[in-house]
Formats: sequence, C-alpha cells, structure tokens
Amino acid sequence: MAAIVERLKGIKRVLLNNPVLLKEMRIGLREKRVFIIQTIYMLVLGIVSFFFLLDMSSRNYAYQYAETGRNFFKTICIIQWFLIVLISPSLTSNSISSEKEKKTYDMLLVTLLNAPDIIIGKLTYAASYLVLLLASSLPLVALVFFIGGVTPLEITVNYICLLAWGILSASMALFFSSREHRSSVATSQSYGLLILLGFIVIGPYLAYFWESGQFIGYSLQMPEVLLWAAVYFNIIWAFLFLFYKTANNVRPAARHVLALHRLFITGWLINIVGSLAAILVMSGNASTAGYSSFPNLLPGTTDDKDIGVIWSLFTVGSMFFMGCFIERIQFPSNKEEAMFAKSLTSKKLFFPLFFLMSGLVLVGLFLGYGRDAFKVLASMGLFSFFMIFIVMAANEIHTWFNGKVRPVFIYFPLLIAVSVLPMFTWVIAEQVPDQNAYYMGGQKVLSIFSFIFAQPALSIQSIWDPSGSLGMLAISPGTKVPTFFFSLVFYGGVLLFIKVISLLIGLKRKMTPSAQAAQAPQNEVKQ
Amino acid sequence: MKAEENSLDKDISEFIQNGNPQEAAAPLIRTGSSGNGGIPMIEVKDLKKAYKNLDALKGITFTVNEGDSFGFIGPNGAGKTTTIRILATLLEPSGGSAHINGISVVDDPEGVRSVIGFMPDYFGVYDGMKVWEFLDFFASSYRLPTKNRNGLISDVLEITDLTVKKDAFIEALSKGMKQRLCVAKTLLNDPKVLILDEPASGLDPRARIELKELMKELTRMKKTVFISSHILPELSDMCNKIGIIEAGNLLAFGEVDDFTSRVHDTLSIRTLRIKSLEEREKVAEAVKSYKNVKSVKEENQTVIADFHGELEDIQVFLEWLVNNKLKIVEFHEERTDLEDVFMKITKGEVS
Repeated sequence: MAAIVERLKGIKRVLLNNPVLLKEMRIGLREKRVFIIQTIYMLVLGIVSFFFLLDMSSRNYAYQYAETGRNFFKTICIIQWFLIVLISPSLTSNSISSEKEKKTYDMLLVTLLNAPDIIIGKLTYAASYLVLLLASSLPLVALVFFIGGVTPLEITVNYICLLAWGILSASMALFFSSREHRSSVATSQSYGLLILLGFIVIGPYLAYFWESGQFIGYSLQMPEVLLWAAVYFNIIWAFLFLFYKTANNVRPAARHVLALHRLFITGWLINIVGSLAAILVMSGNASTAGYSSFPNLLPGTTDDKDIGVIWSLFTVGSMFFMGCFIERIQFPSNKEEAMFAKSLTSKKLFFPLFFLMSGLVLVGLFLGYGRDAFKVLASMGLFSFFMIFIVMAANEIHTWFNGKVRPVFIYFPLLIAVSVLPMFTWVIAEQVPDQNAYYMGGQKVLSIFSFIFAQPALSIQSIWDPSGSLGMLAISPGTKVPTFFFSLVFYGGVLLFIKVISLLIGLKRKMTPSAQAAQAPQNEVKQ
Repeated sequence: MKAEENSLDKDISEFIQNGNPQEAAAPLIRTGSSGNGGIPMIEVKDLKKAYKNLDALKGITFTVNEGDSFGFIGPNGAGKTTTIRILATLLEPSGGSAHINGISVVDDPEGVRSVIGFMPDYFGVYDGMKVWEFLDFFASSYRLPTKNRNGLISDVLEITDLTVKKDAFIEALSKGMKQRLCVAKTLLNDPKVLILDEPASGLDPRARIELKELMKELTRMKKTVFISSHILPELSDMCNKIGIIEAGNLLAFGEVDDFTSRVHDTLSIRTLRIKSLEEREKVAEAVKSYKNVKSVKEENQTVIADFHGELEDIQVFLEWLVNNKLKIVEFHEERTDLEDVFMKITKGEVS
C-alpha cells in the first residue's frame, strides 16, 4: 500500500513539479517559431473552413447541411492529423540532441533528475503545445454546431485521438533525439521513419476515418473486439517502447531494459491473440453472414477480408520489435549489472527460444487458417527487404564520400527512387487497357522491367489486397516465375554492385597513403 | 647553454627515478601523501579507462582530503577529462575504483551526484533563459524544496558576484560571467566536492583573477575543490595539492609547497632576479662571472640568473654584488615555477 502511495507521489512530482517541463516552456514559448507555426496552422484551417462555408451557402435542405457539416469536420480533422503528426516531431527531435550540441547535457545528467523526469518533461511540453494548437482550432470546429451533423462526443473523442497521435509522433522523434549527437540527424531520421510509416499507414487509416468519421474504431462483437483491443494495445505498446528506449539512452539502467523485455513478451503474446482474431475475421468463420465491423476500404477487396487494419496491427508491432536488437545494452554501475543478471529474461537463450516458439505458433496459425494472411506476411517481409535494401545501400554509398555528405542526402533520393518512381511505371502499366497487353510482342520486355521496378510498390499493394492480380505472387509475363523473384535478384544485384564499388574505393584509399609515403622520401632527396 | 639544460634534465630525471623507480603506474613523485591527515574525500585507486584502440587511463591512484584544493595538470589529451568524467559519473571506468565521500562512483552514481558539483570543460547555457531561471531549474533538478530556492539563488549569486545580473538574459552575459554562473550552478546543492574541468580556459586576465578569487572563497568555505587545467600558473596559486598526468599515467602527486621545495632542494637551482641602475650588459657580465651562476638571461632592466647553491650562497652573492658597486635596486629569488617542473616531468606525450 505504502509502495503504491509512493508511486503515486512520484507520478505527481513528475507531472506537476517537473523542472524540465518548466524550463522547456520558458525557453520554447519565448521563441518566435511557436507563433509562426500557430499562425500557419490557423491559416490553413481557416482557408479550408472558408471554402466549406461557401459550399454551405449553396445548400438548401437541412440534411444537406448536415452532410456538409460532417464533411467539414472530417476534412478539418484529417488536415489537423497531418499537421499534428508533422509538427510534433519538430518539437522534440532536437530537444535532447540540442542539449548535447550546446554542451548542457552533461550538466543535466549530473543532477538528480532521472530519465522519466527528463523524457516526460520534454514530452509534456510538446503535448502542451499541441493542446494549444488543438484548442485554437476549436472555435473553427464549433462552426459544425451551427451547421449540424456532428455530436460533441465525436469531437471530443477525435481530438483526444489527434493528441495521442501527436504524442506518439513526438516520442518517436524524442527517441531519435536521445540517440543522436546532432539535431539535424535526429530530425531527418524521425521524419524519415514518419514517411516510411506514412507510405503504408496513411492510406488505409485515413480511408477508415473517412468511412466512419472516427479516428478510432471499436466493436463489441467477438472476435472483432479482440482485434481492436490488439490495435490499441499496439499503439500504447509503441509509446511505452519508445519511452523505455529513450530512457535507456538518457540513463542506461537495468530497470529500463527489463521493462523493455517485459514489453516484448506481453507484446508478442497479445499480438498472437490479435492475429488469431484477424484470421477469424478474415476467414469469416466467426462473423455471422459475412458481417464485419471493418468497412470496405479499398477497391478490389471484399467486405470481410479487409487487410488494412490487420496489416497496421502488424506493422506497429513488427516495426518496433526490430529496434530491440539494434541497440546495445550497457549499464554504468555494477549494481545495475547484478540486477540485470538476476532476471530470467537476461539469459542468453531466453529470447531466441521465446521467439522461436511464438513464431512457430504464428506460422502454424497462418498456414492453417489464412492463405491471404500468409500472403500479407510474405508481402510485409518483402517490403522490409526493400527498406533494408535502401538502408544498406545508403550506408554503403555514404562510405564512398568519406563522410563528407550527410546520410540524409543519400537516403532520401534512394528512398524516392525505390519507392516512388516505380509507382509511376505501375501507374503507366495500369493505363494499358487489356491485361493481356503485357504479354504482347515488343511490350513484353518493358513489362517485366516495370514489374521488377514496381515490386516495392506491388508488395505494398498486395498487403492491402492479397488476392489482387498485381499481388506479389503475380507471375511475370512470359515466364512461370513470380515477379518478386526477379525483383529480389535485381535489387540484390544492385546491392552487390554497390558493395563491389565500395570495396574498390576502399582498396584505392588503402593504396593512396602508401603511394604518398613512397613519394615523400624522393622529395626529401631532391631537396 | 644547451649542455647545461641537458644536465638539468638529467638531474630532474634522476630525481624522479629515485622517487619511485619500481612502479610505473604509481606516481613518480610522492610527497606527504596523506597531507594534514584529513578525511579522504576523493579516493581513486588504479583507475583505468580503455577505449577501442586507446588506453586513456593506465591505472592512476590518488587521494584528496577534505578541504584540499587539488590541481590536476596535464597536457591536452593526457586523460584529465576522462578522469573527471568518471568522477562525475558520466563515464564508466574499465577498471579500478573511484570513491567520493566514501561512495562508489560505479555502484551508486546517484549518491555521488548529490555530493558533487560539476562543471564540464565545454559547457553551455540555455539561451532564452534568465539567470535566476537557470539557477532555479538546476535547484529544482536537485530536488531542493521550493521555499528555500529563492534564498539559495540569492546566496550563490552573491558568492559569484552576479547579483546585479539576476534578471538578465543569459545570452547577454560575458564569457567570464557565464563561467561564474556555471560555478554558481555547481554550488546550488551545497556539494562537498567541486569538480571543475578547465574553469579558466578562454578567459581574459580580469575574469581569470575574479575566478581565482572565487576559488579562494570556495576553499574558505571548506569545500574540496578538484580543478583541472593545462595552464600551470593559475593552479599554483589556487591549489595546495597537485597531480601531473600525462598519457594516462599520474607522473607526480603531492602538496604544492613540498613539490617545489623538494625540486629546489634536490637540484639547488634557484632563479634570481637582479635589477640595477647600471647598464644591463655590464651587470650581466659581472653576474655571469660569478662561480655559482650557471646561466644568465636579460630582460628589460633585469638580469635573471640561474643560481646553483643554498641560501647562504645567495647571501654571499648579494654581498659580492654590493661590494662590486653595481647599484643594485632589486634582488630577489623567484619561486621555481611549477611550469618548469611540469615541463621537465612531462615529455609531451599524448596517449
């Protein structure tokens, strides 16, 4: 009991009497940037509202008003969602790395502040600024009451969701900020990940919002309720994951790493339950008469086989799961080391065994129940391959320039080349009216290539639409081999080529100093 | 001239060798290790720090007692900052132990943080903040009760002579003021040990003197002060103990007075400054002809002589000068600068 009281007191101190929050507010709110961002924010929303008011003036009936009101609210929400998600990283992506740049970080670390104090202080500052932005947009949204079509409860729920997205986005940027020594790197990383996630998340998520008018959905039916619970759990999980990762970057401690371990175990178990629910929903066994709470999001998919939400469940989980093994674990004190060594999860074989077992269960479920789900998983694997390809290629190319070029300038062009440009070839291919056109004469070669280039895009497409004709298992024209196979060979070849070039450059660099050394004595002799 | 310098080098190196020839890791000069028998505040034992391909610290050992002000000297890259960052719990050692006020830096970093005040070598201040807000932030970071904070901030501002700047924005302060503000910040939690990494670097002479006064004030407040620097004269005035580090080894450690006097006693080389109304060249020649004088330097109106001998010999020398009617107006012995000792002991190696 006493421990709980202590804990509550600690939470109160962290939230209400947080020196870091006060400091961030004093510094942050004195900057001009704050007012500029808010002005732009309000201008964008104001212009949109103006056009909706114009539209309303052309309506005659009450039900049309209600429709306009609803569309107005949804549009304002979607614009705010974009703005909030894009603005919040800028509030936190430099907040720890700039302390390192300004050399105040050491002074901060020798105080008695612990990691949660620092992180919650900085996040609360970001959150309070977001609250300010959202609150300033409320008068505009209040126009809806005048037009009709939206209930106050809906507005409240959606605003809470917007804030939650902002905080999640901010904590992601804070994580990068705590990892990096330079703000520019942290900022580019956080926006990079945002764009990567955005490629896949935005479509289905916003489509769902437009259909239902809610940022969050729910269902009280089995098994959908499990699936939705898993979705929420993953969002909270992602936040907690980022929190403890950041905490461990700020002050490495056994309790942070142990908390991460616990998170992974519970996260995986709950995701397995979620996947099971997803499979049940997809296979239509449990949902009566093909009913599903998931609306039809994308053309070409059937009502109860909508993959978008299931997919988002997996990405949130797997994306952050990947981060687990990237960071190394180090503790400053022997006490921490001993505490860590005592726990079961610190044992070497614990996690491999755990993942092997849970992975087998998952694969079994997929093979047994959902062919489509299996395809989704394979597509995600393929998509991850392309992302890893970009990162590896960017890292290799970065070494060519001897670190003189910022990684961002290599990473983003590559990302655009691999992800966006092939989409155009895909769009062009789509324009060909007859599917058989791929197989015809001179068009054949072009088609194979466009398929190969388009594979990153196709793998996303088949996540959304596993049974579609352009899915990852599509057979390449003129052959009996799936397109993704050619694509893997092609991108693998590119990676190999890049590797060979960097080997050659490395060899040349090795030669150069010795060549200089060989020349130096000759010069001396001459003199 | 060159041969003489070499012989001086040899003298010193012999002296160092005789100090402690066996242990390479242990300090070569050790004088009055426990000093006045105070309570040990900083205890460092065989401290090691290895980076990937560099041994920054190769096992250093020293003890600083309560109330001491300890000067930690070494060329750039010798391992000063590494030692200090380990003591400030910002870095973990790869071997050995370090205790502050009996608390282990490795086992209880939180405990150590509450008893130390730390000022890093390159420190920043938050722009867009007022002086009192800056101090208030750190005061609350040390969990000091809200009602005491105002009084405390006034106190530390008083000590560091910044009271008039209480409501000024930090970016409007001069570098010396920022430095003093940073010292004020380290005093907030009433630390027993102050660890200052190169506090005087980049300061103009006036700011330097002000800082020196501040340091003396701190010693009067019975704080244990640990200062690092690569500039010697500023330490010889402020500290009662010094340690010389180079390439990760502690070359010498001891009380400043002992240190210089023992160098004196062993080498019997004293620097004499002689000022006269006569022409400088004439005086220089006369001085040079004296048997105990090893070398002579001329500077403005003064002649500086390296004198080999005891105090009695100096007295005889002075009498001789007066008898020669050289119109002496100034004659005094210059304390052998720590800098000379430092230059002889260190070899310019960087780990």
